[in-house]
Amino acid sequence: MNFLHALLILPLSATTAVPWSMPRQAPASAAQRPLFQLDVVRDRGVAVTLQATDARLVDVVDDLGRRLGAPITLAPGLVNERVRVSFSGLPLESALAALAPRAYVDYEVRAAQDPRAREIHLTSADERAPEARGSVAGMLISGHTEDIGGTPNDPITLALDGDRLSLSVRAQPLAVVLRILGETLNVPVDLDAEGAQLLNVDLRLLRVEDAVLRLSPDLRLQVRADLYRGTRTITRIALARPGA
Amino acid sequence: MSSFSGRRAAAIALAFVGVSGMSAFVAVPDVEAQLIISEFRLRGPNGASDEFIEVFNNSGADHTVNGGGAGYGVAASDGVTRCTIPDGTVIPNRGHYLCVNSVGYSLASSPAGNGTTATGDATYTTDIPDNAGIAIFNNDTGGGAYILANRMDAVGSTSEANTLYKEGTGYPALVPFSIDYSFYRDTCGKGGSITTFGACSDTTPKDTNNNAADFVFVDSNGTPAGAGQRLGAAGPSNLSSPIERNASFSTNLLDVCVVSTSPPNRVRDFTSDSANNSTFGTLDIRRTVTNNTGGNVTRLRYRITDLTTFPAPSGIADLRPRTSTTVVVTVDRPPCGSGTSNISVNGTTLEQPPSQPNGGGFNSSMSAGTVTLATPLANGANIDVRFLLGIQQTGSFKFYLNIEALP
Repeated sequence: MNFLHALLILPLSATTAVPWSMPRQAPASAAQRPLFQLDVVRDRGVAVTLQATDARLVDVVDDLGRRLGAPITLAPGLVNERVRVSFSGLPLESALAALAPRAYVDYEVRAAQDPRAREIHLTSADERAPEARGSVAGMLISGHTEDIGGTPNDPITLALDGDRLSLSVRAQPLAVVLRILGETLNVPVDLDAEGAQLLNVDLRLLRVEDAVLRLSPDLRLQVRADLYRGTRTITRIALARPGA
Repeated sequence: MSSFSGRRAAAIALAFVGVSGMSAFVAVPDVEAQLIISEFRLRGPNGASDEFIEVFNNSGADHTVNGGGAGYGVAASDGVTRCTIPDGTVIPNRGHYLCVNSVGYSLASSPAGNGTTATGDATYTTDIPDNAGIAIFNNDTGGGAYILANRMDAVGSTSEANTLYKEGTGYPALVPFSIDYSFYRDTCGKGGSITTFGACSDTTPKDTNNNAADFVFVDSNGTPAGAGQRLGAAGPSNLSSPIERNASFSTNLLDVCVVSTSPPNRVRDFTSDSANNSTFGTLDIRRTVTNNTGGNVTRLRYRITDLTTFPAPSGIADLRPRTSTTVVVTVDRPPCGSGTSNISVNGTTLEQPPSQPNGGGFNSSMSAGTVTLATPLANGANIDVRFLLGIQQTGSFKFYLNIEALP
């Protein structure tokens, strides 16, 4: 895709002060509403086509969020922004990066399925994104007082090497492995199923996301993609009931 | 009415505006939800006047007090204002304001901010009867101005007859023991359950407008006083106290090259030490905490939000958080297998008062004393810390913490 075609965000308002006293953007009248054309195509991912000239960003993302079926939040610093942009067939993340200085996508990720955007957050360069839903943890530690790892025949070994995970498990319940993963990644783990099935895996230096998804087809990961930093972070792990 | 404009401005200060057509994301919170009573007690070791009322800014933004009269009134169900939070007071987002009875308040030396302690931001001298309701109003005029429409929050017991001063049926009335107790808002979402495992659904004070569901009773001896029994501690916070900033810190295993249950991430010591609430030894948990606040951190502590502790049934661990000292340990840090190094892991201090002779519990705080104004933790920097837990009963355990910090 040609990024040179993309994006020009025009801060037309004289001030970029956060409009705290302007809680909601009133719908523009038909006469005021700038024209933009948006198309979203789902075909092994999401492709976005957008042509806008002085369109209100709030209107563009309103339409985009509706088409994606994922709410898009705008930080206060972007509420008054207008966009002049033209691109065609851009992947969702590239399209979002073309619309705001900072963009964050919270995906639900399942094994063997395309990630599904659940929430999207757009901010200016100096605003923080809201925390991923249900993910804000201080420190989460749990287990059994008499589970002592590090023994020569330890049935679970794990190493987190940057964004790569190595995990070796011999005949341990899935729930136990997930708890240890949650503690390692410091993310909440929801168990809607018992997770009693015994795991035997030996994974070496896989991307964390990929490694976790290999443990069970019933796992659902909540993943925050920070498009500016280019990072993807698991923010929650859930074990659904089989077939759910 | 113009004097309330500040509240209105704060009320609409939700940080993000939803634009997807899904109205849940443009919801504007009620004015009444902006400041809430987050912790209180109406009696303590010093007797009936050993009282405090902690107010929490739940708005999502800094809150400037702009009330009718001279500010916001904190009153008991006799209608008498105990404290006024003066107009112009700025309570930071997630910050606190502390109102204490100066006659008997015994927690004034409890640690708070940098060199400060949990003294009252405002004081009063008229005792609030046991089990009476208390409320915060958007004015301190009192009388006819203390009505439901002007109420920001209330908490009272089942024995409180005036519904203006409680939400729902009220928290269970207490037998008036002069113990080191506190009612605090659940910051995990499990109602203070010792036996419920799994993720917390909340990390900020729970407010469902039902006192019985929102508040958790703790005391430093695990005394049954009518509102549940669990070991824990009062944790009054004032304007100077650290603020919950979980989202601005990341936490990793001390050594990410080994599993979380293995040394040096977790060390099990079987040496019995009953005098220090460790009859079955200790669990020593080590973590690396990274400051992502964007600036220096000058005060860092951890608040226990969920714990298996006294009285734990069989099969559930009874843990007693303790003060620990710095230790040197060997770690293998990434790239894994490339060699080891020795690092210092900082101890943490169980903050007292209140005196916790049985060890810490729910709502106790543990500080990383090496992070100070003089030796701040820089943005992006790490600190290695340990948490020492005495074991009074072995079994399944949980130990969840909120991170509180000051810039």
